[in-house]
Amino acid sequence: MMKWLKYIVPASLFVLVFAVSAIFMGHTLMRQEALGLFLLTPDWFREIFAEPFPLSHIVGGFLVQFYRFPLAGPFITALLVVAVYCMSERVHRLFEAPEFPSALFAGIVWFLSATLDKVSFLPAVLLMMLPIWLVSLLFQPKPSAVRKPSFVLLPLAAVLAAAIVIAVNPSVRSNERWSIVEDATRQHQWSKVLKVATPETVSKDREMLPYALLALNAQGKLLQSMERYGVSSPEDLDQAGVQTRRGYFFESVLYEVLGCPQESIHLMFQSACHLPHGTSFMTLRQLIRYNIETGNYTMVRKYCGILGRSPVNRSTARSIMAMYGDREDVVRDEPADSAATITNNPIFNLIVLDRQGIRSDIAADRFNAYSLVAR
Amino acid sequence: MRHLPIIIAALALLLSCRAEVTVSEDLPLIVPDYVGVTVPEGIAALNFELADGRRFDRSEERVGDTLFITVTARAHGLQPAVKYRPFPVYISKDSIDPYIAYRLIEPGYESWHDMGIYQRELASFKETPVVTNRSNGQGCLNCHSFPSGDPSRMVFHSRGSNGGTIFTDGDNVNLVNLAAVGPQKQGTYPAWHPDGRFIAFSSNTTRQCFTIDNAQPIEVYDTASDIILMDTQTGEVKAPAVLNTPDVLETFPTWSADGSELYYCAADSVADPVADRGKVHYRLMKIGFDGSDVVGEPSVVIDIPDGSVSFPRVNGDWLLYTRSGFGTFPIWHKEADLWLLNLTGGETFPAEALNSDDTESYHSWSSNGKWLIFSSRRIDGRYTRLYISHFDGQGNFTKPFLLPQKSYSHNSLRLKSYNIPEFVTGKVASYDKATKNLFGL
Repeated sequence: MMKWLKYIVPASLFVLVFAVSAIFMGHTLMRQEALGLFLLTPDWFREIFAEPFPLSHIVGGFLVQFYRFPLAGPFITALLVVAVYCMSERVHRLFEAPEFPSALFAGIVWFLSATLDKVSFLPAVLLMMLPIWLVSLLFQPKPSAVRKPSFVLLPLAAVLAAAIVIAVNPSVRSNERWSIVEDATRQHQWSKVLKVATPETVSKDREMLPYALLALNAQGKLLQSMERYGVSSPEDLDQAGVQTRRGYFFESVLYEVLGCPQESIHLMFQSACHLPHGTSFMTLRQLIRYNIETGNYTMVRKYCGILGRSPVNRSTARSIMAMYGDREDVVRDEPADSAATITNNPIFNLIVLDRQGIRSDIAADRFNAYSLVAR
Repeated sequence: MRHLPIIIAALALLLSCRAEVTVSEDLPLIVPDYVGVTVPEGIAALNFELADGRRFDRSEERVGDTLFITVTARAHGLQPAVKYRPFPVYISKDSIDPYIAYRLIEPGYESWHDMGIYQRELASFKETPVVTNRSNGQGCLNCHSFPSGDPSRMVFHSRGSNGGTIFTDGDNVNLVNLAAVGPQKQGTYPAWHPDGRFIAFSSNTTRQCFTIDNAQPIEVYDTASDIILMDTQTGEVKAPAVLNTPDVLETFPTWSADGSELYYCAADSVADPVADRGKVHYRLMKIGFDGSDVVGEPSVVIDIPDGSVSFPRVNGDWLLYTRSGFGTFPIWHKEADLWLLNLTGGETFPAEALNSDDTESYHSWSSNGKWLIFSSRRIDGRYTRLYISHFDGQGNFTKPFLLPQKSYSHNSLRLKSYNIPEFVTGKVASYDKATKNLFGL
């Protein structure tokens, strides 16, 4: 029995990290994949090696590819945290009672990983521990003391405390909400957006308001439901002029919904400029999608070629190429000097789109909403 | 065992089939298309692929100044091996500058993340940074220029807070905010005088507009532009009235070979530069220069009612320029092509060998005037790549070749465009550290 005690702490740690990550951070980890990048290309490696701690970025980037699968992120996170525990435990075994300090350390690392929201953090910790752990292998650990229940209970308590702190942490909860809302918006899953972006949630986080309103807009409920959200000005309806990754991302999806994928491409590029590599997995997938919508299959092939340099995304890229790889670009021969242009005014843009024949109930409702709120 | 001879015979037949090579009189379809190009001695290896993706073997034989490359596509499935007709690559006796410098930037509209000015050794695939925007807090770096390709002196702009124009002279690196000096106009496109003392800058207020659903997604235009002259010896900056007229957009200065004339582009400004952008046509102008200031009145060299002139660059008696339908930023114009102007005879004609169905834009001459490097978007219509061509001095270019890379896929995997390619006569020092110091980073 006693010899199995040494496995209880790491096993419990794994289960707890996996469960908490899956329940409270599942979408956050998927968003990390969306905003991450790992490409087997010379340019990607050159950019990585120009940064500090390149090895942790390589390991983190490699692992984050798998986070697009719903439970892969929690699973890998749990493995990494347990690895931190095991390496720490081996070092502490040179002294006495290794479990509690190791569990405490693993719990702190896990908490920092969850709140910092950086993919490379856990690999960085492991890589820094690696030399110490390797040195510890050269020494004989102290003989284990007689195991008392506290040898297991104290570490478990430390781990449980970390789990609770993470689960209730406001920034972890906020990241998770935002991850759900952004991903659902990107996939046009409007009910899912509204499930999270409720009037109460939005009243505490006004930045989420345009997402809620877009979801209502897309469901044909904007005009009758927007009052519940406390809309008070036209700026509440969009993120025009908001020069952040999130602001541009919202606008890119908005213009896709309005039927203007060319502007979506522009805005997706703008959004991506705020990312560490100037692009990401999600950026590439969105650019592929928007270029399919505009009929620019040359760009679809290019971005598929790049996306295919991520081992986990290779099959996705191949599937897209199988569908669109042989298509000719749609020819547009309207003279460039008289082509209609987007402006900085989102309301006027709806008029411009309408004049171009890009019409929809969504655009009409949106225009009416602007008019109502502007009064 | 009694079937063994049959099996062996069948295997032998199969192997002999697979070993059979069909000899074709066709030239191989390769990417990039290096068939019949003219290259300088010592250029990096011309790596290519078969357009159909088949694996192949390659052999080369040099006969005089011609390299014959034989491609044998390997057997693939039921397709037998095919040995294609050898194709020539002509080796020029004219030397080429050993380096080129360019900016790498995402063709992403208004913003950027990482960008930098890089140099590439033409005899190898080595690409190294000269200065990146890690040195100026992710600001913009642009418009690098070398006097007659001299790597020890360079000018480039560093935009962002506390930005300005950076001048390098060996180890000396100085930042000058041109907007705070003299006529207080910021510098944009630079042109070194052949004597290396004066620089003509255009000073542009640039904007963009984005189309809703057009083959040309962006139009970049100037709402105002003028030309200023800087004396790098004294630091004095002048804004000659004749090059700073309020209703005229003066831009893209460039010098004649002997420095006695300044060429530039000019267009009448319009009330609504977005709605009326099709009416903005830049003509090529010139004005005299007496060694310290412009003299005389400007005269028109080329005026195209249905076209626009950009990027004039002089090479002896020739001037190469980019011609587009309208406007001042041809990289977004599919119809943009390179045209030659004979400065003595006055005739102008398209440089047919260089042009494609897509954009050809920025270009520059090597120090001996025998080679041209230019930007083109012919591969995919969005990401600018570099091509090099030989010039015979008589108005003729050879078939351009794509800047060699370790593999062709490098061109499709790179998410950045090559911008402002310039020949450099030697290796440029790295200015990252010095630039960081200037910005206190």
